[in-house]
Amino acid sequence: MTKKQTTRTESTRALPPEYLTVDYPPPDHGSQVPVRAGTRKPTSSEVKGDPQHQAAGRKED
Amino acid sequence: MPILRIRGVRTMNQAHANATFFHPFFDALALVLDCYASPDLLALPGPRFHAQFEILNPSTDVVVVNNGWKHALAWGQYFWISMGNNWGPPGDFTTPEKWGIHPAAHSWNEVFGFRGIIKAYSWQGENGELDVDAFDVSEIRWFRVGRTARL
Repeated sequence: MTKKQTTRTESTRALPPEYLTVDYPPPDHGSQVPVRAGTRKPTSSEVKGDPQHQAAGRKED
Repeated sequence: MPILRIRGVRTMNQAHANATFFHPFFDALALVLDCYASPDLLALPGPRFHAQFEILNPSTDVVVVNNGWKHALAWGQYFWISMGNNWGPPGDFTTPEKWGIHPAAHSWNEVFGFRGIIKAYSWQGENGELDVDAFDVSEIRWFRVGRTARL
């Protein structure tokens, strides 16, 4: 079994949030977050269904 | 009629698992959309998409992260797009903290939602970029970020 990293402060989860001092920089939305893309195999439901007849903008259940 | 659909939303960690819990500093969080583009959309001149990767705080209904990506539809009918490094090296992981969603920065809200929006366009050359009536909004993929603080 892999030993958990001791740097993980698991014990701090027992403390109420007000006891933790945290310093965060603001989210930098202007930075480039890495992106990737690729082809995928269609699911069996996609193969069986006909996407052409689905209404535009309908959310999947 | 051209169709562009989001068929699935995933929150992938560095183990390539569709996880629902993330350590704020050690786990990678890649936001993934599984998509479908119809053949008639791909047959348009210069077909391209713009995708928005949104993270919502359900306690406030505020979109706290909204990153966009525009690119050609270059991967056929069935494709996936993702934002966030979950392939490493570990120092390069896009962690929840790097996304800006450590709970401490959001009044200790721990649960967030990932939602994708995708829209299609056609590059018409000298006529510019044409909006195509093909778009989708995904369901929300809920996940939780640990409260661990870096002391």
